[in-house]
Amino acid sequence: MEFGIEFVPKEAYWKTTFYSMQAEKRGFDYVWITDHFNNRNVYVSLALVAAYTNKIKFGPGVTNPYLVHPVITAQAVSSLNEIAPGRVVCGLGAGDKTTLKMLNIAMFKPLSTIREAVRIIRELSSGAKINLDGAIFKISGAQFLFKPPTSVPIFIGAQGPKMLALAAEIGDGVLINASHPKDVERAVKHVKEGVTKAGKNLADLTISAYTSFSIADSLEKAVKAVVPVVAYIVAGCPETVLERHGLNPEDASKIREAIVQAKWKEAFSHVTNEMIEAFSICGTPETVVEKVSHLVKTGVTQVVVGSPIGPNVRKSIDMIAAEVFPHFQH
Amino acid sequence: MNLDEVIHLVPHSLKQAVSGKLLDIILKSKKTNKISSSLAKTILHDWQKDLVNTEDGLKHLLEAALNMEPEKTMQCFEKLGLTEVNQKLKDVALGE
Repeated sequence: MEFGIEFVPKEAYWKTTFYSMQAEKRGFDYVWITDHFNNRNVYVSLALVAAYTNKIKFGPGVTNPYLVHPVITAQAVSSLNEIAPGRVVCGLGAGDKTTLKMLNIAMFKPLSTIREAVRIIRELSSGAKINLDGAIFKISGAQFLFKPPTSVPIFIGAQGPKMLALAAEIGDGVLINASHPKDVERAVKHVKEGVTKAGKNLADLTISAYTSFSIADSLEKAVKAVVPVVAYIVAGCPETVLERHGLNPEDASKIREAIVQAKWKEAFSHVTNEMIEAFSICGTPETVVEKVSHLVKTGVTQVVVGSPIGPNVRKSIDMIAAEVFPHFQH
Repeated sequence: MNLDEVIHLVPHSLKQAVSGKLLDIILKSKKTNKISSSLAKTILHDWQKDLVNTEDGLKHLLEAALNMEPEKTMQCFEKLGLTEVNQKLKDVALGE
């Protein structure tokens, strides 16, 4: 069982670097750093992680081929791989609609886009020359002028059945964007179908639950930290997923409207315990261990501790290492 | 500001507790413009090499914490019962 941790580079660079080093010291296996144009640049942040750590694996979690051309992603991860050979991974997904909409970029043919992007990143980061006459990308004889040390494993961020199956087929790992066993179990089923279809060995694929996570010494503190994150998740959640958890879409609409109007207090006031239960792993170490155990039973091989991590990130990382890790073969 | 004398007063048994409190002040502060890039890198180096609980490491943390959150920094020593350290810190700060 592996544990990853996600950092959002919205804070000064040295905080992300500090927490990444702490994650390595406390036994985490992966650091994932989110890629949004309105935060610090993901590769600048990762370069510092590469320089200040020695064994933890790390990568963008996740970048997208709409905003960043896959040759540039391949170049970035290969350059990082020179600083930290064998420790770099590349998380790739279709991106989030809100951010892309802000930049007037359409999420056109996501399955073809991801399939082609994976091929481009994989081949270039292996040092190969690539020619591609794809539906999305046209590349004629592109190759790096430097020799990448090793190829970079590609993890695909996925939620829907088709993307999950594709991720299983062409990815080295899958990042399932969910926290509840019900959602993760459903996703793992699609992943297994994709693996079978591709004639791959399931054991060769890292299946990760990319969770929203909040741990503290009291439930109240953990909940307080996770409420804003859950509000955003609920606001962007498809009705089918809300209904799967018995949540009322009207409540989600209220949150969405309040967020659009920047009425944060109101938005957060509509977040219920049921929403927190559905979309996060939240609580004291004892509760968290129980919830992670449920995830492990679904077949995931990595749990990513995602935002907010806890009310005090430093203490929460220590708490996970001391009180959660010992319960899992890690 | 000579912080060596201040840090020297922190009992060995409380050094880890002090570094934890100072780290929390620094990491939670939004006043990131109050810490120089070179001091931030020094702290990262200390953290990487497990030096944050040493006198030098504590001095770097204290300097950053004082720059970013002076009141909270003073209170942190008070809360740990380190009245003498707090008084010395005030003396050093006033003497600047």
